[in-house]
Amino acid sequence: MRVVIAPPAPALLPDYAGREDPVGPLRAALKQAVAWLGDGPVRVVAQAPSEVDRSRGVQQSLGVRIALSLGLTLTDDPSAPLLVFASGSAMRTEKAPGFFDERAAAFDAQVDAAIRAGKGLSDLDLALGEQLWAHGLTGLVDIAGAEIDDVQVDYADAPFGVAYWVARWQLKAASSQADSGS
Amino acid sequence: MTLRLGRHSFDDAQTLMMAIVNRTPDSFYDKGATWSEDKAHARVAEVVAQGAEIVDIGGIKAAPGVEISEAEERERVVDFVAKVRADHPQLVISVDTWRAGVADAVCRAGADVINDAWGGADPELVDVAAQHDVAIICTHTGGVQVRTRPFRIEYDDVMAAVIADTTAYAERALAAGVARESIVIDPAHDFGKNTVHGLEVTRRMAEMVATGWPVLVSLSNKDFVGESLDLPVGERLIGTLAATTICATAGARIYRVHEVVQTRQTVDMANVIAGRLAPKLMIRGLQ
Repeated sequence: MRVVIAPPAPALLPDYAGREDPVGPLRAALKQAVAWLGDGPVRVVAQAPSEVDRSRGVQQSLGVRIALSLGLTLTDDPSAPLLVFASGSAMRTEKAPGFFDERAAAFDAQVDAAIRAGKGLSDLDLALGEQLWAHGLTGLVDIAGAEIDDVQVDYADAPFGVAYWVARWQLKAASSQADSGS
Repeated sequence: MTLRLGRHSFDDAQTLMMAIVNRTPDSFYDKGATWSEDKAHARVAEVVAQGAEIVDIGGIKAAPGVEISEAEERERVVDFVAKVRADHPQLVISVDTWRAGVADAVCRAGADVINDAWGGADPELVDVAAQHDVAIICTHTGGVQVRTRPFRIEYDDVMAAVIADTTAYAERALAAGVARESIVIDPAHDFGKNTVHGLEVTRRMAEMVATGWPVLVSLSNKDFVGESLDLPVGERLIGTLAATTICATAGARIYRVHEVVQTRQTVDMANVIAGRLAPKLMIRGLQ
């Protein structure tokens, strides 16, 4: 089964499009990776809106909205290709949304290594990730339990002090235990 | 409606900066700063670098003064236009003249727009525009004589008069054979109008936009701004930009200006707020 990992960055949404694209390379990488998932419906794994967001009337996760904006058809079918929305810390620099935290770079390096290896995500300190404003990593941990044949990283950067990856995993197993965020 | 200014076409939502370049020794704002030809060419290069899409070249100041013959006006602008055309192929060249003879000569030299600041004083101007397939700016002057100041002019409804006269002029241009997409209307602040009139025209700009003809506004450093704030020429930029914001919000398309950079920012900001133009580059909170 094919899995794509992408960051749930609102800048990817058409609602927030300016005349210039602040995430051009990220968007290009995401489009290519999503095309690799095929023409059929995909299953989105994304962190549901927080309680605070829901209290503001936000019902759909960023991941689901980004997937829909890409023209994807979504499904809950566990055998469908997966699009997992996750990002690393948001505290890499003083200008980062969460300000600078000296633990952020090491945490993101650990996530990076795990994504590239297709394993090791279960070793992550998710409580620390939460402190560092990482997003959606739980969904990845669940999938990484499966055997991964092949990994391709299309994008890995932290352009705004937030760690992003676009990566492709080819899974041996046909399904995973991850919950659909749709 | 797509706007076509001579050789150049522009999309519906695009706003345009028309930078004033005077070939006069006595215009009110620059007082002859670009009277010498090299300084005028330097000014053109400067406003192009600042992003102006159009230059408006004028050989006679609007206010009363020494009479300038047609021959003298041609001398001031025709060769200058030809040189600007050669130096800046992408630039829209407008010439501020009411004389059909001058208009014909500058069109032959490469002008794209005839800016008739005096509201059709010369009836043959529209024929020249049609003949050369250039754009024409149809202004409202309230019927005053060329190069006169308004004196005790009153209107029952100034905006109704502005719309009636400018759209009638536009229809006349159309009938003469000027392309529909090359006709622009301009309320002409301060021309045949006192400050109260200019303010009302500004306040009711949306009515003019609603006619469907693209609207040009020429607000830059004018007396209606100066009198509103009791400020002399040279201290009217902020007032000009405030008036510009109102006109941009209403949907005016072309801005005839002395200060290109400031006006471009003001017009873009107003259009971004109005939701007609996306912000340039957003990332705050969206990472």
